[in-house]
Amino acid sequence: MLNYQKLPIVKLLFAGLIMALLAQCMEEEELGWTFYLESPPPPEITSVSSTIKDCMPPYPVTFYQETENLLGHVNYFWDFGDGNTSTLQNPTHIYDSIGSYDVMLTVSNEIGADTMYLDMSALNQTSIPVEAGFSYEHFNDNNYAPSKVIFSNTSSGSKFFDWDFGDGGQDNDDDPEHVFDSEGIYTVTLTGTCTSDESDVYTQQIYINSPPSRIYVDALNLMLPSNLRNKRIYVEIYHNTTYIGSTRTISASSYPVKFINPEDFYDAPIFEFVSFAYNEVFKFLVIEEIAEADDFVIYEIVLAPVDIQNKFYPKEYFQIEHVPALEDVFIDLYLKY
Amino acid sequence: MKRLYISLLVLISLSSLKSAWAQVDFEHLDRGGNFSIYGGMTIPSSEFSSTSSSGLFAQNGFQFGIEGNYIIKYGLGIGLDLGGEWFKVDEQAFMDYANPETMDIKGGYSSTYFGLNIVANLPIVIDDNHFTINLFAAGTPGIRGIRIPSIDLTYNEIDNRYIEVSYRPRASVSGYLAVRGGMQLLFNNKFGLTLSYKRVMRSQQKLNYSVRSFDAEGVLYEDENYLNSYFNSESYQIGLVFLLGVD
Repeated sequence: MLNYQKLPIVKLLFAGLIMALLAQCMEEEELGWTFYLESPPPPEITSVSSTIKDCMPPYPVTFYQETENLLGHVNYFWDFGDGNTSTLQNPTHIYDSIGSYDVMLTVSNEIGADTMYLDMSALNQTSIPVEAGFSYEHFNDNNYAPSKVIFSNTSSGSKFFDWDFGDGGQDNDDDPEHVFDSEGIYTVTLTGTCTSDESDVYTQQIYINSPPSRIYVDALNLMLPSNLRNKRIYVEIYHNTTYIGSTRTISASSYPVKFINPEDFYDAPIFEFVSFAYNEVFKFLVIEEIAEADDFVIYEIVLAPVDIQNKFYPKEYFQIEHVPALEDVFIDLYLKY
Repeated sequence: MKRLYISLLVLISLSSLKSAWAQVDFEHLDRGGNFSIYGGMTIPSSEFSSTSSSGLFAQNGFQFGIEGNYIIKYGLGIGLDLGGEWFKVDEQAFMDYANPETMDIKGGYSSTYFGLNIVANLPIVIDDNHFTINLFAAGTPGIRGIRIPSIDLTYNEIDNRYIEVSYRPRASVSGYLAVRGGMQLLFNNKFGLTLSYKRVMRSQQKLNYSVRSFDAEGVLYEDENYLNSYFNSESYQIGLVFLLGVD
């Protein structure tokens, strides 16, 4: 006589039944597809400023604006308050007579518009003192050589500008950008001169650090085709031909997968002693771990270091995909220096 | 359910057959096994196929599976059912809601399932065991995983904050309950043909997915999200069945 109770399959059957019943009972609020639709923000003017570019009338004034959310077809409309207008981004306008003027800027695009006003009562004077000045910021918020520095001219009363960057470089632009190729302390000098030959000199020191000798991989985001899901995958990281470290082995049921330093890395992946010589490369090998057989390299993804140098040490590289044209293969690389 | 009632009626009618060439024999398949390979069309229903804002836009697809059962006594048996289903996506409906500039949908909804069969058989032996019509019904609780398709969307920067949006599937498993009924045309107690109808009963399931999106300035946004809905379907199968241990 068959004893049904002793059949493991019967026990499994009951387990399945309970599971299915639980599935029926676990009712939550329904949720369909989420569409990532959000109206893009309209232009937002964050600042309007001006530089009076002579010390006596008629006053040429260059206007500057900083606006966020510059999408689509952007229109600028300046009303200088003396009956004249301009549609340039950062126009220069000559005020023929002294007076107190209200300047209005409207920035618009297909999404919306924003307006800001600027009080130009400083023009109600027969002469303006010559004062040179500037501020600066490092591109990518770091000062490793080569370093790109963006200057903002804050002078007033000057018509002509002479920039001396302290490394042999010079410029006569109002707001120049300059690349400092090597580390050092540079004295940047701005000389502002009025048409009356009256001038003023302003200097500031800028610190440029030596290139980073080490680059740390902060995180790595790996995207692979779905046919590689559930396979044992890890990534080896190389600097030139030197093995640096590897990620832990994963068996992801879906991609992308993020590896975060240090818990997801072996050997703490650091690109050591990076000198940015020609042909120096960072390389990532995506490898499948196969039991009782040699591991198999699926993809070799290469990032030329010159990108890092020429892009002035960015912290993120999205979608590095120097691999054969296959779908859904890329690496997001997050760096720290 | 209407189809199930009709199947039941046919079954009862046929069970009353008594003749020299056709005889109902509940025990004909007892202590024997059968193994079948089947495939067919699968049709999503309710929220799964709905193109409303909360719908999932699934369209007809296909199904493939293997099944093994052991008939214990009086035509009652147990077994295992393993298979996969693929449903297309109504791309136009998805596009109507997502409203992208370009859209690329790779694959559709894919499902793998593993269930435990409780089977009831009503064999009608015809022509001295050379030909048998077996009417059967099965209830199958089990587990299944469903994955969404991979979807890539691009937008104009003045239409949407995100100019690139990519959906990718994550693993999602939950329970299900299916009922199945049909007939097997068995020859020489060795092999045969199966025609059946299956319905996955209404059950809620959570489907995980990841989303990557970039705005116009190249800033990356990552999100983990899910669908929570009813992935009901019905399907029609045709298959080959092989009998083991039936005299």
